[in-house]
Amino acid sequence: MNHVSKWIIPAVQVIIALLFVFLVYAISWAGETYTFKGTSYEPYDPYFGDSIYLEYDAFDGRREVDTGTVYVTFKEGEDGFAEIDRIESKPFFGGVRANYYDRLLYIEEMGSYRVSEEEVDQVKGEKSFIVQVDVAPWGMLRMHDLVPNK
Amino acid sequence: MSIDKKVREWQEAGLLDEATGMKLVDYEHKKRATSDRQDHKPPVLVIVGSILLALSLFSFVAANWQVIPDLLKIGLFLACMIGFYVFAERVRLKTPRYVTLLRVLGFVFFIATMAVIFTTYNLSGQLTILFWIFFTMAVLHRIIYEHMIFSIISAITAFMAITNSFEGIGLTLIILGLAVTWVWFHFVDESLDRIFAWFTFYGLLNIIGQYVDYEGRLWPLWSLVILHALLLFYRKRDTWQATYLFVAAVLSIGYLVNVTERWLSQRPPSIVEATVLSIALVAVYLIHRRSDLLWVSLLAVIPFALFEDTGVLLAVLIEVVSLAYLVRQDVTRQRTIYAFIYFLIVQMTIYFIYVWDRLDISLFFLIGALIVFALSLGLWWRNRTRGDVTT
Repeated sequence: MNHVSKWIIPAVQVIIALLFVFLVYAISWAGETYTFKGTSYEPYDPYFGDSIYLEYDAFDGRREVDTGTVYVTFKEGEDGFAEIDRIESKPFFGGVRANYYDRLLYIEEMGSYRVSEEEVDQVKGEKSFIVQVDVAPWGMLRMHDLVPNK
Repeated sequence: MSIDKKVREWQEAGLLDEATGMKLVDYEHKKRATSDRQDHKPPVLVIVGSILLALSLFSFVAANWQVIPDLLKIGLFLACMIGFYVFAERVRLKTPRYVTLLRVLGFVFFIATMAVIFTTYNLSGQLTILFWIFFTMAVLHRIIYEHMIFSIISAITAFMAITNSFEGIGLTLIILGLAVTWVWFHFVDESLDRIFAWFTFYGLLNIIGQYVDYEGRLWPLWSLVILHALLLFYRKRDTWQATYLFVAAVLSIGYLVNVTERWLSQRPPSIVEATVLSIALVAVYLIHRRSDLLWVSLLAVIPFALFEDTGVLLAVLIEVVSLAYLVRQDVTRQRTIYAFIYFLIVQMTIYFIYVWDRLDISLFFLIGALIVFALSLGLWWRNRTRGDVTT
């Protein structure tokens, strides 16, 4: 084993980890921002944890795909809120991974929102929200700015 | 130490002369002195102190985990990972037995780092690619650090990647998976690794069947046919090639169970596909002409057996083949243990499928035992007469 090759593995692993972190931060720079209307089953209470579970009206309804894992992209609808644009069973570049079952689409990353300290007062006791979601061209997404829908 | 006593004893017994004895004693004492100097053990209190310090650090980090900034969390884990690899290189010459342990810990911390990244940023949509990255890195460990433990780790990560990919996988990942598996298969010339890599190939081929929306029940057989391409490039007879027989045995029983499960309401395969598949199975034998792999080609009956959904035809055929295999292994003086296990499993399967309600299990096995006894008697008779001829 020569001098260089033994450092390849740790180096590659550091690069992979940093690459993922970079991709997460790059979502907001390179991605498109969509606005979603979300509701939760019960009012947000910081006592029960810092996350809130959300459902989206835009994800309801019948789609022309087989049930199971699907991949979707979004577009902005006439009312300014996001709706589903392309939906396929096969992965494609830029598609967000989701589950389609029983006429309901579910995206795991959008299923819960982590409420930060500053947002608690604003969000407490509310059930209906508007949330911004950045979607990267490579299919990662990130939620931010949860505000009550009044 | 007793070396002085021993040397004196040997001298008295006349086995050693005085000078050699002196030299031996000197040598042993010198060796002991240097080894004492080398592994100077740290005092117990220092060890206890460092354990306590590490524990306090761990509990402090764990208690404040929620409020630590995301990047700092990831940085902590990355630092641990790098630390283990650096430590492994530092102790490589002094205490080589810890090197592999430290490298494994480094890899574990890589997995932990990625787990932290994925949970903090909620990246569950990218899990499949993560599993294939783990597999790639494990194979890289195996190739660069050349230790058997990384074969096992590669196999585990390959298994996780494949099972995770059945839900949905893109073409890019399929190609990455095939490339990495081939690298593993080609560059690590060990039976164990080749067996694992072979199974990874087999799993990937089945995933490809899923990807191309293959409708039907024969894809596992097609995968096995396709994998015979490996025999064209790796011609040397080797242990890993037993995987063909193993998978063929598993498939034969799998299809036997599958064909009799009438609640699945399966439609029979197309005639054309069944014919082509059967021809392909026979053709692969004719191409590589390996007499020990002839049994794989007997799977050619399965596509046609699926047309008859009581499964009796298939059961009879598998029964005959398993018996013939057992007899042939015995006659050619090869290892019969695997043939015997296969034979037993076939009996159990047939019993559970067909005679579960109708026949008492003891009676079933009594009949089986009588048949086997009759058979062994026949074989013994044959061997005896043949023995007479030679002597």
